[in-house]
Amino acid sequence: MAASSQPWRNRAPTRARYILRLRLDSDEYAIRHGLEQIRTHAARNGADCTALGKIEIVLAEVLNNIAEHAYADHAQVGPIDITCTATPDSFRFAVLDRGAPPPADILRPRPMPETYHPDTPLPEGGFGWHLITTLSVRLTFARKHGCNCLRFAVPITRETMCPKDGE
Amino acid sequence: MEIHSHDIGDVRLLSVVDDRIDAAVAIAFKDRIRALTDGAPATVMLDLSAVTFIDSSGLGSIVAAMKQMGHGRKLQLAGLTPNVDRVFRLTRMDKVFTIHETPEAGLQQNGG
Repeated sequence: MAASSQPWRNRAPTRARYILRLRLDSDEYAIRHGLEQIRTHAARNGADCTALGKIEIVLAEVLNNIAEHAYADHAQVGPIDITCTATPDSFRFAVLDRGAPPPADILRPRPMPETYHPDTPLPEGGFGWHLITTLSVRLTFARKHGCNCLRFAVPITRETMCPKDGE
Repeated sequence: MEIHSHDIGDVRLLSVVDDRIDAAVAIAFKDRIRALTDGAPATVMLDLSAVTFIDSSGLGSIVAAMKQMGHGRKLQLAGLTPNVDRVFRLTRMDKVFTIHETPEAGLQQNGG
């Protein structure tokens, strides 16, 4: 059997199955499409509905931040490179852009208030980083060679039925 | 951005047809809600049961829509799917809005 006598031939596609590399533009509809590809990749690697939901919101907030802040001064869209690696316990992400550096305290936790006081106006933004820091682990940031590189992981749960699956 | 509007009793029910309220549509969504709440009864209920994904810009546009309605009028929510519910809970916005399990339950509670 050719396949079993040359096991390395089978290794490459198996390995690639766990890793997805994407380059997309910092445009809202390109981001939507990128999220869809990540969802498909994560589902193929065993993420259940809860994990898929968490991955999608964390990544959406990261990508929106890049589009709105890192590339804010660009007349046109800029490139975003995403690597998503499925591991047994989490989906690991590395997200690179060539935009402006973020504030030095980018990783500072930004907790939401426990309650909103009725006399103060409700916030209409500032939710994004809170969602990222709450739903991800091992969040790190590095600025290297003119690139921003954000790394994080989303822990996975498996085989939980979607609430509407059983209906 | 497709949103259907029906007046049922004293409630205007706005049903979002699109499955995503994200950065791509947040401004269009806010404008559409503003137009549909103009001249509405005191209670407006936003049916989100078709929405499977919302991000922070989408959430911001719902908060903005509520603020636009001003005092004496209420924006209630109904039919939050798991991913939408998670975003409301994590940002504590679930404490700010009256949220009904389904639009039917919401209409009943509003005396409809």
